[in-house]
Amino acid sequence: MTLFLKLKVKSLVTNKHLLFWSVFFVEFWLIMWFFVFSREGGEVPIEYVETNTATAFAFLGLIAAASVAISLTYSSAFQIAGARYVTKFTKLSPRRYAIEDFAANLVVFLIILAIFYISTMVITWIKYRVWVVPKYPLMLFGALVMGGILAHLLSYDLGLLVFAIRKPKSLTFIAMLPLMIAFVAYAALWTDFGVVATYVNPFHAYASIVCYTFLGKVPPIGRYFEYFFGGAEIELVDLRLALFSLMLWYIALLLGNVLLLRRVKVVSIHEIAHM
Amino acid sequence: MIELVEVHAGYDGEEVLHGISCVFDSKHLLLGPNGSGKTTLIKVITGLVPIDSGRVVIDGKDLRSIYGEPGLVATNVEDVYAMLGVSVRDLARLFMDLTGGDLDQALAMFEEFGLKPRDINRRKLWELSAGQRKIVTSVLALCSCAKHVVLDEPFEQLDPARKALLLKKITEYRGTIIISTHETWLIPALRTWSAYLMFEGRVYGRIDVEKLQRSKLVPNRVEEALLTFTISGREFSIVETGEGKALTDLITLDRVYELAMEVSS
Repeated sequence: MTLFLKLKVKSLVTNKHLLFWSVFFVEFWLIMWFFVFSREGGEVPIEYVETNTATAFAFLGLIAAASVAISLTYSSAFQIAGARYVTKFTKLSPRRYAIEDFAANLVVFLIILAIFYISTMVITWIKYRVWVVPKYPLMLFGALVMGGILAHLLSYDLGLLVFAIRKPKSLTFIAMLPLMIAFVAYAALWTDFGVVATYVNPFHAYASIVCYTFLGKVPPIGRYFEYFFGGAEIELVDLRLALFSLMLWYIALLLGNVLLLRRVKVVSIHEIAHM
Repeated sequence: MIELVEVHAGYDGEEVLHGISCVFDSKHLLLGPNGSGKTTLIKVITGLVPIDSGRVVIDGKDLRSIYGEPGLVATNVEDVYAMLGVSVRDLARLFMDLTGGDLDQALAMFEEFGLKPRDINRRKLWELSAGQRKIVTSVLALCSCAKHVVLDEPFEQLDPARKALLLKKITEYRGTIIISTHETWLIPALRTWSAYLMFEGRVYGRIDVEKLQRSKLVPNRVEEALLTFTISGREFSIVETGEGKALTDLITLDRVYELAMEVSS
């Protein structure tokens, strides 16, 4: 691990905002999920416990992922100016910079999701005395990596967008977009936004894939609680389409990255540092 | 050698640098009032602000084709060092690693400048005072062992003792140095250097600092002038003899507009 990668990971995992929103805030709702909104312990079918845990991990994990994306957006915005110098006059060539920066963001994303995974398992055990094991652990890991790639690309586009529209003070709003989009996907627990919304919202597609790899059952396109616990008949997610949607999002975000990089004229860090 | 050829650059469609051509090959002062485009020029040289037209050539290579070349150019522009939210010590470790600089020398210089180890170990760059930030970034630039060091207003916000110490470190540096400043006390302090003057996005010079120290500012274009430049649409000349005002009479070049009005009236 190079020093840039190591220090970037360190700077993010010691970032108080990132820790608060992606760990403490989400942990609070995890506790609420299990101890306020879930069935009481005792004679609860194992199927309920597994489904409940998978849904909590997929959807609260989505909020954790979006919270990480917020911090990554701030981080990318603060790096854009310096990156021009660093890639020219230090050992970090543009390729090396791009790879190490991506790797650092991905590592941080996976650390946060690993913390959330462990706490979901522990809380499930405390509540139901059951250790729930993901049905497809390797695929689940792959799905989380896909989430990390999404968070990285999205945060870069948003960070660049702030400079492209030449409104550095809009960073506070623009950085929150991942969380807003994630909350729309989160609403699918109760609401059915229809087939198109399922695949258009990358966070919805991501949550569906995580839920499937954890539970081993194809989830519905919406109204998860009604489908899983109320027996409602709802159309199921086409997982191949969800995967395809994510891939298209990657391509679109990468293209956005290239286009925005061409437009961007860096604003002094002072203009965004004191917002 | 850093060479700028007809460089035009700016922000938001507004041109700040209007066709700048100059050569930096030894020790140079870039003198000009605030808002004259000095920082933009430094950001152009360091690749932070892309140019709209013209060329920047560093040691024979076009800046646009320079990538991954540690030890070529170092700077104290804060944007460069605001990349990661880590302690000053980690920042120094990172940049000395990336540029092939001397970490021990940097840490020793922090101490020499009176930065407390607690601040270095715990605080992030933006948690320091403006003067401390200037010290940290200037020290990192000087310790990176680069061939060309470009310092933007390195003495701003520093107390007199630290100004004197930084001046000593700068004069001891072997390599090309460009210092942008609006402070005229540097003129007698760096008499062996050469200078460029900068007003309203245009560079004038070059001129030996020693000559600049002796010369006077007079209105209008004068035949035997060392330099002629334009401020607010009016021409002024720097002459070695004559009735005028010395630039060194000003504490800051921000007062050059007052002086110009005074001289022309």
